[in-house]
Amino acid sequence: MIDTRQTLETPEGTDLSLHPAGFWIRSLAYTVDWLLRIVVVIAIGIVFGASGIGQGLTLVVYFLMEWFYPVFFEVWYGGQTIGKKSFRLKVINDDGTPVTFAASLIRNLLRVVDFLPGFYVTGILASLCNRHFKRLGDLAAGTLVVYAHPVAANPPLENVGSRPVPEDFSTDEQRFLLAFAQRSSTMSAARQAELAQVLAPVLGAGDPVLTIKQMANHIVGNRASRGDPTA
Amino acid sequence: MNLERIRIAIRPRRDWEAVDLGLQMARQWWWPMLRVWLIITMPWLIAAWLVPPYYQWLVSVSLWWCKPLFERPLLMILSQGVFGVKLRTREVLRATPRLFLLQIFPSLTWRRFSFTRSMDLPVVQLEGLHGAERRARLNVLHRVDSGPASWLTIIGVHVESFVMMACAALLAVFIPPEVADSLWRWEFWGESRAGGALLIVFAYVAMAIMGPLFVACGFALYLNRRVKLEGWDLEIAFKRMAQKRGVSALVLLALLALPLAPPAIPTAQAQSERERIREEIIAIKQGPDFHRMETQRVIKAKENHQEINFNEGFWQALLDFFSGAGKAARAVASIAEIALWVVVLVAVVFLILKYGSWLERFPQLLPGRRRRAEYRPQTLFGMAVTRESLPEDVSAAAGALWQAGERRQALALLYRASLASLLQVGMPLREGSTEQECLRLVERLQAELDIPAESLRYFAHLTRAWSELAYGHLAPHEHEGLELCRDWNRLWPEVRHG
Repeated sequence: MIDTRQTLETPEGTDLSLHPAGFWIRSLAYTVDWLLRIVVVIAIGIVFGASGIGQGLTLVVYFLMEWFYPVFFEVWYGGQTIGKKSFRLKVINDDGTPVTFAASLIRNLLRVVDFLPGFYVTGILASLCNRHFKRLGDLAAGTLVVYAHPVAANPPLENVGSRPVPEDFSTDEQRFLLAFAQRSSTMSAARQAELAQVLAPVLGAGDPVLTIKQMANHIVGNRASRGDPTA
Repeated sequence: MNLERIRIAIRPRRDWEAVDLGLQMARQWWWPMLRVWLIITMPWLIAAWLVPPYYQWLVSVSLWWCKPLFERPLLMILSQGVFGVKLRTREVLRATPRLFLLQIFPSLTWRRFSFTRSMDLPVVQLEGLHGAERRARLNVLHRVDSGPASWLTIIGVHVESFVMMACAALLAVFIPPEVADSLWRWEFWGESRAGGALLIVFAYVAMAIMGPLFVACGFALYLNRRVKLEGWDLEIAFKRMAQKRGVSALVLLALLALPLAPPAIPTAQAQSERERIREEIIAIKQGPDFHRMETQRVIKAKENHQEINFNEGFWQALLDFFSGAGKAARAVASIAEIALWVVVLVAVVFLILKYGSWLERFPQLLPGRRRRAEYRPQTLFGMAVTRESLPEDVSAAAGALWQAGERRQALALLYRASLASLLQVGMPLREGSTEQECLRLVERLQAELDIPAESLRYFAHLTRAWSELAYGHLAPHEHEGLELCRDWNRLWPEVRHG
């Protein structure tokens, strides 16, 4: 199965889902960070650049910005530089823990290598060569850039009454019934009917679409019935 | 379309994650796609070598212009691969001419500059829609989660040119500097055959890398929209649930005898119906039920500040503010500069105080005047050479000692008196010097320090006599020693009177 979700088994036997981010969105996040750094350095250059010491200060700020801006944000602001935060990305260790100082330092010092021979071409190609989209710095540091909030919040359910779910429905199966109800607003009525029809023999008499929606309400605990209570 | 055989994990994804699914798909079908792409674009590469240099631009422009066509066979590979059908390269190539001709005119004219090309291609190629149907379908697909489609084009253009420049940079790295000089001339890239051909090769490499990525990511965006619109994952799950409970496949087939592609295209009638409903909704929303009037009373302080006037005065004020800030910054900077120099001076003074005694060992380093004023070793050769340690009348004291038979004492007195007087005029004698070194130093600096030739001769004589007595226990003759004692006062007047 080709998937963007990578699972990580913890020592406790739980599967963690990680969603590594590819180079498209990461290059956007990088551009935001880059513009930000440029603006800061130029602003400092304009304000202090008039005197000799101002130029020195500008150079020092430029140096720090170039090398330690990402490290600072990744270590002290939850793995997110401003650019990454704006695209809801974050850096973590590849065992799922928050990124450590050493790892962040390594991955950011090795940017120079990923930049070769120009414009991060090495980094982009390297990220395409493994399924975690790691550039060379990530490979060396053992870090991962993932989506901070990969799953969208569930939309509220339409309250059409409640109906108990048959006992033999497993948790996963109930989850799909719920998903059907939650996503029904994005599907045409014809398609909803078509999908629900598949389950009609299992669900028994009645409109299968309505039945599934009522079961979904039951699953999330909306027991206060309205409309036609059949429970 | 058989969802049972689908090879990608179906689930509704957020927009950018869908793009990443495209990257994973490109990784999976990279070589089949690249192979086909290289084969169908090969004529352009060959043409680039055959045409005269001044027509090469035509080759590169047409290669770039026809990119939408090259994307179609790649999409064919992906769309079949996703459902587990492995196409042979030959099959794809055989279908290519037909794919090329599909709506070729709009694709290469006004749609060539569409930003959402990658996401729109499946609608034309897989659903076979055109005209109003196509537009309606695209409206549905673009409603949400299609933002990345434009970004794919924008970022793709940049990355493609970056790859080109990176190729040139990589080449430059491996070329010796003597040759590389001519590589950076415009004539090389613009006019020479080799440069033009290189440029085309670089562009070709960049397109070959980005082409499959672009197609796969656009296709993934399209798939994600369909997964959401049609609940593909739900269909798979529901079928499994039904099958598990013994609903026969035959019944399912009968139930599912519904066309899947293209699904749910709104007809013109439905469109007008929707339009009417939308207008009704707007009318209702504008009614009183959806509006609430509220009167709030808030106590506010009477304000007396000037309104900011966004015209000349404002800009003048802004300019004044910035120039004021600049002046303040300059003042701060010059204060900081002074402070830094103070720190440097303090450091130098500290070093001198801490390690200054060192300098006394190198009196040559001091300038003459300061040397005279400050450099006064107390002892040389273990003998006191200060003015105070000498008797008032050196000749008389030495003569008396000589007469008393204390010849060593007498010559020692003469010698250290001579050294003292040499120090007085600024001779940089060091504690570590030997008698011969002192003599040579005096000979060298004689002219500079105005020492009379006679005194020098005397000092040479005295040095020899003193060395012979001190180290060889050979006393000079009686008259020679007396002469040395007598002549001292005449030849070294400074010490006696100073």
